[in-house]
Amino acid sequence: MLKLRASKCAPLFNSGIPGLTPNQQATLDGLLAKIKLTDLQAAKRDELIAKRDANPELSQGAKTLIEEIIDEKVYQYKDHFWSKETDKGINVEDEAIELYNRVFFTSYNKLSDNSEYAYLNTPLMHGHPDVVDAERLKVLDIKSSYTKKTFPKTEEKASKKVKESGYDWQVKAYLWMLRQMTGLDWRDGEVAYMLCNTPEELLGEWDEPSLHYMDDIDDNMRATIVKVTLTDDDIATIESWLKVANEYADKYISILKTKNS
Amino acid sequence: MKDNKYLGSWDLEVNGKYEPKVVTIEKVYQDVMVGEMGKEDKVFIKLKEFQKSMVANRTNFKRLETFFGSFDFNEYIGKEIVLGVEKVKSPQGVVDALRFSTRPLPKKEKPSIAPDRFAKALQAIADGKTTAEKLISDFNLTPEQHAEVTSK
Repeated sequence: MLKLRASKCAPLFNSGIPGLTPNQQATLDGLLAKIKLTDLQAAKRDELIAKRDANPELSQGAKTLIEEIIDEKVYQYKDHFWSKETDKGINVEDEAIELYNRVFFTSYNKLSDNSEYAYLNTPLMHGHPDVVDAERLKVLDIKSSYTKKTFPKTEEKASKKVKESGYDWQVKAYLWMLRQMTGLDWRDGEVAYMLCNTPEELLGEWDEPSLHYMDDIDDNMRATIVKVTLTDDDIATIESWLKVANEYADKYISILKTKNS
Repeated sequence: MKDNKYLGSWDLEVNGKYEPKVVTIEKVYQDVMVGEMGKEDKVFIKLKEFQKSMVANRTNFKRLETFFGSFDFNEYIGKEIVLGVEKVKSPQGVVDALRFSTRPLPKKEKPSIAPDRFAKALQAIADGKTTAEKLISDFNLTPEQHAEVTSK
């Protein structure tokens, strides 16, 4: 069975709901229940039926994502992604959460390995959220910007970045898994862009120091927050595409295993 | 390792973690170091906060030069700088090494809370998002703010 990492799942869910949205389904049910339809209503009914019955087509990005996961499983290897940006993110995680606490008057801690939410694990998805607020049913994902320049300084810019990077789906995937694991109505998430000093050991001789030293900036200017909400449509999107993705994964495994037989 | 003759990363360890420390340069001098490679002429730096001297290398001298804006080590005497531990590549693999920081000295004071934000802080305590203890430990509160927080 295919198991997706929450941090990489966005290409699968970006295409919206395959088939009908809950609203469209309700419209179609209404139209089908009517005895007489106008021409316009009949056209709408036919359009909705065609959409409902169409085979959902995975995007190229989704296919690549699934194939990469299956390749690692079938050929038994691990491919770790590394960059200076992710290195910094790992290094300053505690500091970023402390900064968040100072700005928003909270008392969050990074989830320790033995916390029940440190590793979210369901049959179809898994992942490591940064902060889980079990009291408020809320998930935080902390992103430490690499430099002052790359830090999104307004909510609008941060929202754009969140969408482009698929971080919204990452947080939604955590919320979806928490719903599965606890049976509670997890809906609220945040992507928090934080501006922390880059550890000097990660910098080369020619890196411009002023881009990486943040302590000269007021705490309140060092956080930009994007709210993420898991909607009913998002839940339908996740569940529908996970089904399609698993079918595609089975087909792909069969191709790999039988290509020379 | 703390009984080593020379200052090392282990001397900055506090409760299993390395903690950067503001240090004062007392003396820069040349001496003979006796190590695994035999006797070697080395430059040492004596810091006011430690009994042992630190063996100075090129990287740390470059950092001092950047921070103090001079390559004349006489200019460093009596001045403060942050000393920390960084991971560096060496023939023995990646090791922890003492490194001076080129960044400004940390502010000694904790941040304060402006009056307009203080209401939010009180609300956060009321909502159970944080505690009075956390607020007191993270911020430099005015006596009035302190009294209000502790009365909650």
